[in-house]
Amino acid sequence: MTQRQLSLKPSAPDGENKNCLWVTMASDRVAEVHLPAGGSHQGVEKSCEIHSYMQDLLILERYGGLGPQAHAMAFCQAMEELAGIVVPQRAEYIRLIVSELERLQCHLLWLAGTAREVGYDALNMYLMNDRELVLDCLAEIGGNRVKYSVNLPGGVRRDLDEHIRTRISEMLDEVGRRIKKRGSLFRKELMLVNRLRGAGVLSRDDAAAYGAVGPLARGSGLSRDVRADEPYGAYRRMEVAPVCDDHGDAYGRTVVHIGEMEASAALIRRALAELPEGELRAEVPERLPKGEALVRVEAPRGELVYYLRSDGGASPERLRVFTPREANLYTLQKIISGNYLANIPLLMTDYDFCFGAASRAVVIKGGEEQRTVGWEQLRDFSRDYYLRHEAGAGRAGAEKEE
Amino acid sequence: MAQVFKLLIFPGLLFLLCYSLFCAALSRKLDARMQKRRGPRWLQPVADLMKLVGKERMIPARADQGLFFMVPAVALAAVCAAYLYVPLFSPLSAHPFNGDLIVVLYLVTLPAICVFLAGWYSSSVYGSFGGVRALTQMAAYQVPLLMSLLAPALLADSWSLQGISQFYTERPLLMLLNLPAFGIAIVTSQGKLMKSPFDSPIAGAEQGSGAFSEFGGRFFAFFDLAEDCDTVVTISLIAAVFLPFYPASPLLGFLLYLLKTLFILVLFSLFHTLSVRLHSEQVFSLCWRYMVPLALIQIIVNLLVKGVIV
Repeated sequence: MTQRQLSLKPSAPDGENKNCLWVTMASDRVAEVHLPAGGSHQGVEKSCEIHSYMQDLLILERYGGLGPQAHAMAFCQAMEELAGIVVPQRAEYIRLIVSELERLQCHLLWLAGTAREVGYDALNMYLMNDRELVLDCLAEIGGNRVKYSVNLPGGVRRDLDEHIRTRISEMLDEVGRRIKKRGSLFRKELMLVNRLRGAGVLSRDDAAAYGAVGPLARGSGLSRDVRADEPYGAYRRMEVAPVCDDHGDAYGRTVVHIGEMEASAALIRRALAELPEGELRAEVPERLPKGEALVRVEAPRGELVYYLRSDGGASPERLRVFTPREANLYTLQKIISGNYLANIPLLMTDYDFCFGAASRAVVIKGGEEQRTVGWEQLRDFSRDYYLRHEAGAGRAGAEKEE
Repeated sequence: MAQVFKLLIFPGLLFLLCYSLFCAALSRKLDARMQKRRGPRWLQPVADLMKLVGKERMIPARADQGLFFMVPAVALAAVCAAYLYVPLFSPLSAHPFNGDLIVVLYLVTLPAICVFLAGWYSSSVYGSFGGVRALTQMAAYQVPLLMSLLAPALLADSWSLQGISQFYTERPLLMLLNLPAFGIAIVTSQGKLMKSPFDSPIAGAEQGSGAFSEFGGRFFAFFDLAEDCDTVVTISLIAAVFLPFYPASPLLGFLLYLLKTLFILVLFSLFHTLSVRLHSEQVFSLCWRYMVPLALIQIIVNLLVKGVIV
């Protein structure tokens, strides 16, 4: 069969991915991958250089769809390092708890994406449902489901009181039970395992050579985890064992994600038990002293690197963000080539996900009157709406079409 | 007059269209409930159909103009014609004759070929990938599907659906012998209907909508409708072959028909909720490694049993 070129653009294969991917197919296999990076350049680093540090924190929390905590924490750590400030222990623990909750929800979404791409819609829906529990918990801590910004330079701005701590441990019990169930499904269900085995094989040597990070590297048996290699914050007082798997294919990566979720739950439980009393925040000056800082944290998708240089002004002189997505770009190219076309969406989820934020309150303006509808009310409203309109709206829709 | 009524109203075109839209809604609803979703409203398939029919007509410049126009209509016509030969509420279909089983099997194969033609002649990369996949898949599921549907007929020694019904009404217990064939028919007919796990020809995840990438508006509406009708014809055919029992009263017979077909529809729904999309190699391995030998054993057993009872 002749070679044919296929464009897997954002509109075609997977709406959430912002990169455009060109593949050349020989028969049913991918012969060549062309991946022009920078499909959606946002100019984040530049805009950080013209805003103040506090404004940058807000911008960076919106860097990607999913990792506000990892970005904000890395940026705050860089600022603290520059200013030479010791963060209170309680704040470090709270940062750890929120980071691990974030890992939990990201991994659940990752698994849901994997299930969706192999055509297992039922499992996808169940996993998304499980993720809701974690998001609700995060919303209670930070105030938002997706942009739960708890970090401030020098500490955190939200405390975990008794009520939230019980909420979290209850949620962990429930989610832990469900992860166990879903995990055994991913490991044992024959059709699923057959589909994941052998998809996008990445050997240990290749993973090292291409500089893979995060679960992608750990799924190939490469033990790379910043939390273990170079502990930061409260991780210094915990032992984190990287979860690795030797399969090196989509199955191996799935196993790693499931194992990491279990490990995350254990970490959160331990942090909740050890949570020290004390201050939430140390003072950080508005203008940082001259100097530079390099910070690495383990985001859900892998190692996140922040480089910050200050010239003593009100905004950074230079900020460089090296995301795990950027690091894994070439690995993606490697794992796609030689695969079936059918495996490409699956491998794209292996690599990354992006989602928009969810809003929490709506301001309704009608003439002079203005009122704010809270989140609880919005949720109740949407539930009631669907219950009320179950029968009626369908008919109305059909009539309108006529 | 009676002929025209049979052709166009009942059990012909109109009833088939209404019932297939209902079955589409029910099937979507069942899938959704099994996935913890609410699912669409009951009239959603009707609304979809109206919306699609009202849309602008577009044919890609590079596509084969005539075929682009005809293929969806042929697919729909083939399944509608097949429905006339399937018995619904009595052993007699609208036009029974000796050998109608073969004709029905032939007619229900046509939509899959139409999907291939649609993909191939729309001159789009995604379309031709989907089309080739549809054809490849056909080579896998067609043989076990035919074997499983012919096994009960072999035992009954008749190629007509009426003859099958007559045979099994006299010896109902023998139908239990065909249970494996029933299972094979349920699994492989998913391939015919291009439902999960055999939905790679139209997998949205990697190739737009596969064979249907270039089809929009009323062309797609026709394909969509053909697919819904194909589902009804397939479940009716499976009911007619594997559950050929009819009460004397037509009304009771009709109710029993609904019961039988909905039962099979629920089985379909369960099966494709619980399955993962297979790629071409895995489809072949499933069909030729497991389904075909099983169907062969079924046929051999049926032949042996026939030798004993005759």
